Amino acid sequence: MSSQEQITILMADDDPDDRLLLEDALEEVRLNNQFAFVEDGVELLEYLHRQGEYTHLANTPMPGLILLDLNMPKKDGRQALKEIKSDPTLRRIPIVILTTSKAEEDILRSYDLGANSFIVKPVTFDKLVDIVRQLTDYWFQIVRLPNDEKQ
Amino acid sequence: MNTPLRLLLLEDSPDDALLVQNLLQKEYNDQIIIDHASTAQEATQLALSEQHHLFLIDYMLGEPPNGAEWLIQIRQAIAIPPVIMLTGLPDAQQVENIAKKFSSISYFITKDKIQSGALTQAIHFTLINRPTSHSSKGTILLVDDDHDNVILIEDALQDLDQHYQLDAVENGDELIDYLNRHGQYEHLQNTPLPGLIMLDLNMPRMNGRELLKTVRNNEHLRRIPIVIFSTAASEQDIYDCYHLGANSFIVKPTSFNGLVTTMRNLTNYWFDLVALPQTS
Repeated sequence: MSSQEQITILMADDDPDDRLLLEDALEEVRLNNQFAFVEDGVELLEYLHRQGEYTHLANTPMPGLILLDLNMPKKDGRQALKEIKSDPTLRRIPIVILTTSKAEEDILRSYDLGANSFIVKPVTFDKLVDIVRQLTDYWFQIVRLPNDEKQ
Repeated sequence: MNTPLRLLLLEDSPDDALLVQNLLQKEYNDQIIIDHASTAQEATQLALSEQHHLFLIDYMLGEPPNGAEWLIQIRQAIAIPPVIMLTGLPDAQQVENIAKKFSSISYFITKDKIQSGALTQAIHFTLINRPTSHSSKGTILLVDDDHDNVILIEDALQDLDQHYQLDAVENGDELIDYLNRHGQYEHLQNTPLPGLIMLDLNMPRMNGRELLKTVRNNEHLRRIPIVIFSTAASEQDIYDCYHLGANSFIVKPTSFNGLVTTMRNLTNYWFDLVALPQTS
């Protein structure tokens, strides 16, 4: 798959340690995708709308997949999810919730709001590597993602 | 393994009964138990004393009631399982009229077709819709109007280490009845809803996108993940399905080995990695 490297994975997570761990895990599974981070829901929406400090991305493709934490400052993941999935220009982008929350209410509500999957963050790094491998196998080998250029 | 299929055969012609019994014993060996009744009265006794997964009923009986009338009677006493009706009459209109009255009739098979594979295929299809056995890791509902596709995916699932229950419906009305445990799916009332829906986009007789919209607009059902399964796809199809709320979009592999790999990855992802909504 030659075009896979062009697909950007965007991660929204306020915890710098978690972001670093995920980046390491992605390196571990030798994923060559572009990788971008935002730290809260406000930044996430700005990134997607190419506003604020992200205006320079105006002519670049949208992320192919968003990994979204639920608990973040300013605007949390639940609100960001709701806004993205009610925005006709953004709702096609798959969002995988990646969070420490196991609360049944969070799971139900996330699917109700249109999350594409819900994954509970593991405690150990080894397990995180496993999860990242399965997650990226599924989304980049098995699944077809929406392609912006044809729109 | 599944418990054997227990089937009630109501057939007054000894020749036809023997034909069906021989055919099914050969096909299923010890996986099937057939309780044979020659009269409606015998059938009632058997239906009340045993639980059956399937009724196989001759429409024309020597004396009243006929097969359909017997179903009305027995329905007062027990929850009836799926029904396959055998009939000598090739009158399509009459068959349709009877079918309309009985949502639990899954198939009509004319007697001249019994040996052509139509009966075993119908039973295979009904087997697929049996309630989940305890060892199953989860239930997948396949929406596909092509029986061959259903059997192919069932076969691919059989190749995996884990057991997954595959249920199948073939149109939008059945899908909604199935999800609401209504009509012919009343017997699933105490069975959890499927963990995942696989929706075929390339169905000649219905519109997959409309079905996607229907489920996504239903407050109780919209949380069930839907994976689009499609033989060929344009970028527009893919984009539209995500836009309408599909959880992912998969292009069906052309080889059987490819299908097994895809089903393995798909089931690992959704049933091991992902937290699914509790939909009881």
